[in-house]
Amino acid sequence: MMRINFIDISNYRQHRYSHLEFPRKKYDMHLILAENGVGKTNIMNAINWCLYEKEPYSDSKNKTLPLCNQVSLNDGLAKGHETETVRVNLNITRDNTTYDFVRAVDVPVKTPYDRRISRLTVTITPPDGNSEMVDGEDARRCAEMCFPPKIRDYIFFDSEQLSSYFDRPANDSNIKDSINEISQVNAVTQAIKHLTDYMKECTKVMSTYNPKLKEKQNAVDKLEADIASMNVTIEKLKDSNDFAKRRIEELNRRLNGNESVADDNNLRDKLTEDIKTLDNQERALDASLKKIVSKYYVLLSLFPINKNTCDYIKDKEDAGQLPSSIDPDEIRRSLENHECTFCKSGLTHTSEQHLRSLLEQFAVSTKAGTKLVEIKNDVDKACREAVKYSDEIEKIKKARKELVDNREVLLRELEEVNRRLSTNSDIESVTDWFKQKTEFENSRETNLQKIGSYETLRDKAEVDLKMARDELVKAQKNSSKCDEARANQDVAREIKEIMENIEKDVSKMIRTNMEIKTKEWFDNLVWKTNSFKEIKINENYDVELIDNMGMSCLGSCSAAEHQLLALAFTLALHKVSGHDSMLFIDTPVGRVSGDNRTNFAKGLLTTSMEKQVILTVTSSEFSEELRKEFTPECRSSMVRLKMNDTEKEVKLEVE
Amino acid sequence: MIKNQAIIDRIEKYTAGDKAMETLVRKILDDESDGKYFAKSGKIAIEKEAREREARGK
Repeated sequence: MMRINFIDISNYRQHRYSHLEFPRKKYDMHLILAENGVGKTNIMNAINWCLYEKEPYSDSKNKTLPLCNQVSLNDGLAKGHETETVRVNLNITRDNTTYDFVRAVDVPVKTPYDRRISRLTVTITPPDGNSEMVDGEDARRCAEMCFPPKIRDYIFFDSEQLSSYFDRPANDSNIKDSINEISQVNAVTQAIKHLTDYMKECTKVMSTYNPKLKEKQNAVDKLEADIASMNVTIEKLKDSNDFAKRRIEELNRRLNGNESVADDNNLRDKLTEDIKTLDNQERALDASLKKIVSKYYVLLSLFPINKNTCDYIKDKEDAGQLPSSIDPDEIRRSLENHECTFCKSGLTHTSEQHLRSLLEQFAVSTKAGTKLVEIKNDVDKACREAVKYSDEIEKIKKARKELVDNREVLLRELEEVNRRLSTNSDIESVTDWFKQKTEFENSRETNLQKIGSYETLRDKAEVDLKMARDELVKAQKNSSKCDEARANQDVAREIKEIMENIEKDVSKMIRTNMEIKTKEWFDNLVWKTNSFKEIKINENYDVELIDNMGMSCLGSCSAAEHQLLALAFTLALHKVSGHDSMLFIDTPVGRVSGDNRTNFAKGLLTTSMEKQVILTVTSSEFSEELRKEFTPECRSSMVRLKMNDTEKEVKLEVE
Repeated sequence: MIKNQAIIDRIEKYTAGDKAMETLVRKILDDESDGKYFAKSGKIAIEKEAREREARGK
């Protein structure tokens, strides 16, 4: 068991001098009461700075103020000191041995932001009382042994960092590594690795006597490496699919009732596009209409004249007044030749005069007549063309009416779709969810195919590996000079198989126990005892909370439920892993109210019978529910932190 | 050293009554958890066990 006996803080940030004792009574429950900004979180930071020289917990002032307390710096400056010493002393007991950690650094008063190297020393006092002091690398190892850095977040529990507690990327193995560290499964894993390396060394020795052994060992090594690599890839793909599955379930919950939204959204876009197309077509028709009017304007304007002309020509033709069959050139030739060109008889004086008067008559009327005959076709054509105008206009009108009717239909449809969509206030989000869901589904499909391929390859490789190992063993047996190395390798192999079984067994047991214990703690802490069916934890320690419908519901839990689940997980971890450490929780019930606070207080009080629990709370958090449980009889200590008038120094009041 | 009772129980289970093997596995794991170099302790223990087996005619 490990617990903190006291913390002594000098010149560290707001704590000019703070000494906190944690005596043990029936309940090892300790309260530190302070408002925000007074220095609660910096007590956790002080401990971490002492152990690891890190300040991982957020305190807004830490970014702008120097490590050394400002009042001390000012005093030091006034007294002419060069430096002031920041010092944190953490005294703990672990399995009957006392560890006194002291870290100190001298901060220059004139340039307090200058980085200086701090020193850590640890005084170790076992039960027999013979103390030993270590520093440097030994001190660092001692700190890490008592407070393994990888599991720091499960000893020092900052409720403000809960938002990322369960929301980790698929390949993040921090929790798994931490649990393996706490439960010492990593010692088994490391041992397996060392044994594997040792077995290879033995083969190398054997292969110096039998070179073929090296070939066979290389073949085995390559297959083992390939299989390991494929297994890693398969696991990653499976983890990715599990993550995608959880996301799809969460998205389905959000989309429940909104399935038609994406379709309606797409339909709306299409209708809008179609209406736009019809508008363009209508504009094109208007342009055609203008062209037609332009084209026919002249024809229509001249139509009455042309019609009259056509009628006049027809009348003259009908009356035979147009010189259609007499050619004036023939008359001229007749006169020139003094003979008729038609009958070849000579012309008399009288007939010549008659022909001359005909020529004059036809010359005048022939010109007009010829012109009339010339223009007759054109005028006729113009009249016929002008008549076509009304047909073309009719066509345009008909096409236009069709467009208008179609647009009416589309507009009505669009109105209906908009009405449906207006009942959903968050169309963008819903559309985005559908898109995400599709992407995750596609990704799962692709991954499943890849998993299938890799598993096939891996299975074949395993068959090949067995054959290669058999050949290797056969080759090893054939070499009499390899006996010693072979004997060593046999022992190592046997140990390795035992350890692999232990590793697999214990990992599975831890996960199962974690599921059970987390659920037990969670049921104790939340008031919704009938809403949640079980907790599932996969090999990567991703947590799934399953509701009574069998659906994953972590994504839809409230902030309070998240916090309580994270706390339940941490308490289960402490119990199951066997790492018996104290628990330091900063602002534990900030997001929790009512019955949950009572359950929380009761749960922690029970825990404090077996392990030390230190809570830092604000006065608003220390509500009636907490005060009712953490009575003076139940708690081992309570300290109130207050800022002095200058707001640069914390004062402690022991209650 | 190894303190996780689940691991300790399984060492006993999977060594199936072979006390020498049980001790050896326990030692390797204790050394591993204490950060001792395998080459300096585990390896030596394995080789010792191999010699003892040879002597017992296993």
